Amino acid sequence: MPTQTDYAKAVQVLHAGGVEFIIVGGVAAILHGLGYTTYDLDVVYSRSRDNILRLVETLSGYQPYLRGAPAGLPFRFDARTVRNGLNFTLSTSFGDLDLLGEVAGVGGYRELLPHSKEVEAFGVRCRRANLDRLIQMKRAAGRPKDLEVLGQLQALLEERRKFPDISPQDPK
Amino acid sequence: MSEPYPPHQPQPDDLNEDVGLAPADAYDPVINAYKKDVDRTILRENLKLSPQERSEKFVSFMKSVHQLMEIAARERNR
Repeated sequence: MPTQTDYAKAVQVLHAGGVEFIIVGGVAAILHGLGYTTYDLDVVYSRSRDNILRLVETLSGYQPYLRGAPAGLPFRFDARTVRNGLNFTLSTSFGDLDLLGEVAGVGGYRELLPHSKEVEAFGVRCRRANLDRLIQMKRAAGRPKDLEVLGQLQALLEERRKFPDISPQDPK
Repeated sequence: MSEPYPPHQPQPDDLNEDVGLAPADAYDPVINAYKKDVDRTILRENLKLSPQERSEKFVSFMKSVHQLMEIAARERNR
């Protein structure tokens, strides 16, 4: 059975720790209006030295561990590990968290930042990737399992264009 | 016997062109096949909500999904 991720807690923890991150993937799609289920939170994080330190310090109290790896590995989620790696699929005490240093076709935090927007969600102000970029990311990933979601995302894009005033609380 | 279609000879311009990412609304027949089954009434209802309301709805929905999964798992183990 998939882990029950506490999405609000995950976003609030990262926000409270001052971590620079952008929500992408399924949760970002949901924040745009998709009706969808997802079991983890995907975020693109800034690879700046300061941000890596903040990220490590923030998550240190939540038992970050490599998701699906056997227990007991000498894994340490520290600044060196993050600097030496790039993308991490973690399990934490608040659920499953994917930390992405780069996303296929889009790049890293710096490249995605102009294509993201700050919104109020999960009780805090956080950044969400724009709908256009989400579609491009999903397409660039080239996974057959994303095709259904891509259909929904394109339909969502069409609906927003067809009814430009439908989201007064979330203007484009 | 000659080939029906001669192989494409890449031109220097083709090789140097950076095609970048296709626009989000680029036509793809496979994605289109999925798109025709999308229930747009749900999308329109969700679009009327704020991102905060969407996040609350999602959290509540996922709680229900997990409750159902737990019930199903218990029933299987009976």
